[in-house]
Amino acid sequence: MIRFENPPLREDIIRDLRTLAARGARVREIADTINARLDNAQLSIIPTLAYFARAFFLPLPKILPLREWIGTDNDEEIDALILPAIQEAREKWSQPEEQSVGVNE
Amino acid sequence: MAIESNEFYWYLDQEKKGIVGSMNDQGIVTFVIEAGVGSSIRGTTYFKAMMGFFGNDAKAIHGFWLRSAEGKVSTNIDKVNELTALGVALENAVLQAWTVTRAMKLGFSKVRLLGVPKGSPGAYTKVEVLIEK
Repeated sequence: MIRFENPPLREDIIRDLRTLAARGARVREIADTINARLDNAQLSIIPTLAYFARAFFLPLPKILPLREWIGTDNDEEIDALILPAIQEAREKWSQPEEQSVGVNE
Repeated sequence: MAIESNEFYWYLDQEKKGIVGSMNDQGIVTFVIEAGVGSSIRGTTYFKAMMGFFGNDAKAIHGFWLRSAEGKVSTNIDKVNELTALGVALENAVLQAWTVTRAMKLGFSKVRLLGVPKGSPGAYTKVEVLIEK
């Protein structure tokens, strides 16, 4: 498996997102944390998707509803879609990640 | 734990524009692009860069196009609705959607609808397609 990242996703943010999820954070709190740490005044869809996917081992198709959720207040709906997927993958993201082949610029 | 799909992420922080894409182990690519107004890089450039990275392993592109209730711009489904409102059949309208026209230039020429679209001509809210070589 290979990845291209420009800029590289930040490991410190990924760690913090996993800590949040382990505490039971809701989707908005996780999304707000991503964008606050990146100094985004508003939720930005591209990094939001990238960090959710990486932090929680979620395939992009599964988290596409985040795209339509941003800018709405449909938090219960998005929580019902995303939080179970995060918890289902918990075994993966709660363990140290193996080194993977990366292509960073 | 190894990641389970190939990933492509290119983001211009100053513009808040970019692309995120993934390709699963069957070679199916899914992506989201933010470009257009305020972007120094065209959406087509982002798309070509991602497809170039995935290379020949990419066998198909999965388009999952939604029209949000808030009316945010969604280039693909907006085009589909524009054309179907004029009487163009959905199967033909999708051929003129942004992703399909770009994919065709890269050799992805077989386009089929997946599932049952939501909505009606001129007012579709969900259309899903698979674009294959």
